[in-house]
Amino acid sequence: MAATVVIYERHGTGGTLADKTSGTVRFKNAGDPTVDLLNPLVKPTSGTDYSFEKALRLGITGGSFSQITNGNVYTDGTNSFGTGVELYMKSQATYSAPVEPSGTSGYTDAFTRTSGSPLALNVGTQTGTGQIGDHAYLFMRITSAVSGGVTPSETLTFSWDEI
Amino acid sequence: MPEPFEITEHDGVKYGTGNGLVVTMDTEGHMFRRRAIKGIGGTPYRAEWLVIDLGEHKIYVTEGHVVVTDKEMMP
Repeated sequence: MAATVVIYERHGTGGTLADKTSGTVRFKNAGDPTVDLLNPLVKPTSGTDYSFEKALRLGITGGSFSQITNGNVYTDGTNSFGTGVELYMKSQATYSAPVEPSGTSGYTDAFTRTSGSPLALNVGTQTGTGQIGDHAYLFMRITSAVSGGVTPSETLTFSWDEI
Repeated sequence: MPEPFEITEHDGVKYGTGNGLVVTMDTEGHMFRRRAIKGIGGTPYRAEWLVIDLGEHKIYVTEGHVVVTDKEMMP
């Protein structure tokens, strides 16, 4: 039996866990993981509007395995959010409460992280349960070119090796 | 939905079993699962691969598809 691996979204000062393995991650102007229409990004007349960060992390809740290594996260390489919508991503070992960034320093365009060039999560060699590896911190930025409404969905992939 | 491959070893021979296949590795190399949760943000689903790493060449086994390559591949 393989490991039971989940995706957590951490939030708040303590890094409370929300299981997003089968869920949606909603970028908005608030740090909570709730998928709602509150606190939307606001189309700027000029410049940009930033979402709060999302802190995503792999977790192991059970199953039978010897070890897990080589954790990565990546996109399909194509931004299908629409014009004026950007997504940025970085890895971060230590949790910090998601904030609304003021720039993209330290981040890379998430759509440059593909299966051929994934973002490594420095999982090391894991043999037990719990959260593992770096967090993937992501945020969305919109420009004045964006259309109103909820964007089309985009997807992330979290991968790992396991024996 | 694909199932994770099970890896067993008997008399020095490794077997990867799952998704209607049994893959036997009777040579030097590594056999492991490469797994993924895809579609986070949309409709998530699992990808379950079996990887046989022979050094210069790798064999990737998925549902109904086997790839022999010298490249690193991700689900």
